[in-house]
Amino acid sequence: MAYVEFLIIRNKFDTATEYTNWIGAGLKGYLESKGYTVTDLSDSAANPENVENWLDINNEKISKVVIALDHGSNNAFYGEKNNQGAEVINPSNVAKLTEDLHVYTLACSTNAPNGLGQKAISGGCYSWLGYTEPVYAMMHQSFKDCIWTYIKAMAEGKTIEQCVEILRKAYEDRDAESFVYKYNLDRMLIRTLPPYANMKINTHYRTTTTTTTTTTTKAPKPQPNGCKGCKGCFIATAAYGSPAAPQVAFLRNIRDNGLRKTRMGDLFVDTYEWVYYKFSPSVAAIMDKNPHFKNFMRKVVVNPIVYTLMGIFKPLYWMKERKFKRRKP
Amino acid sequence: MEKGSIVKLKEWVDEHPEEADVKQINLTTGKEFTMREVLNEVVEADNQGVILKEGVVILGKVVDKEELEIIDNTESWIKRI
Repeated sequence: MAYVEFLIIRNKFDTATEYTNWIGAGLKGYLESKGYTVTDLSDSAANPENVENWLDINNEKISKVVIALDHGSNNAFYGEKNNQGAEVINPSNVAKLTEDLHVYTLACSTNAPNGLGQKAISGGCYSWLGYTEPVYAMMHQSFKDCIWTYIKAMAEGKTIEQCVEILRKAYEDRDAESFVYKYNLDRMLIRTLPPYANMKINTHYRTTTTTTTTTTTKAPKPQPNGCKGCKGCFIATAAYGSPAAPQVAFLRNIRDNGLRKTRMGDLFVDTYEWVYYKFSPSVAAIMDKNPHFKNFMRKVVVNPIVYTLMGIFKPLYWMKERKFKRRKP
Repeated sequence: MEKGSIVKLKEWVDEHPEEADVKQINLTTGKEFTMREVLNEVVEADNQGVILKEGVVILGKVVDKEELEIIDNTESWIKRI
């Protein structure tokens, strides 16, 4: 769980954003209590520069989720600058800024046909939950609880499909409190990259290399409980403290440049990852919290595997390299 | 709003005094309201025999498009629940 970062955007410059800002109050503490890393950009801190900086950071180790409680339209999501609304995500930067992450917006119209959400998904955003038209908010705990159900479900490791159902039910259960609930529900829409089933916020790392130009290249298609193109090795990364550690880089190299190059190897890695990603995030989270367990895992489990593989593969690579050099004129 | 809907809304407000005062807002227009305020307006319009439409003054306020939308949504809702 420690490998997912949340960004909360909740500015406050007019009456409407006083509501949405309040809805996001306390969310940081809740998510942190669940072991997540959270950046809470509230009020004037929710400026375009801060949002863009957070979104633009490319970190292969981390999955990212954006919770946007703010003003929106079909062509923009707003932050705040000089006590006024300021576009932070628009059609020109949406593909670059939202590739390989999950977005939840309580904002008007971001998921309208041909709107921002649709552009985000076609640019490689994993999931975008938003509304197709202007919506309502309430200054009431019950409404806040309703909106939080989706976030809590994501944080608890539910699939996006389950999260949507939970939010839908929360809206339906409150129908007797105000017309607002059904009104919003009728305009709620989830867009995702296929396949929808089994997608979770911690299923994928951010694998994109962000550039200064807008790209519409699709992200690697998510696979249930694992994915091709994911660069992470949870347990080895936790054991050595960094995805850049030579041992982790060696494992990645075997997978991406060795096994993935053959049909049988590709099949093997797919099967292995399908199993591995079911338990490894939880194990890595425990290792992060418990240095003794981390030390034990490194010495007793990870080191033997890594050095055995090094013993096998390094001579193979060396022989392959020599053969290749000899062939050269 | 139809008389039957006004009666039903009044009953709801009487039964849910706390919820009736909850502030609600359309995030795009910024129009704020409570169910009690909506009830007061429709009751006043009914007492005066005024048809609620844009530009009509009820309780010292000019009724606008956003307000009418809220009243319409409230009526559909109160009929449903």
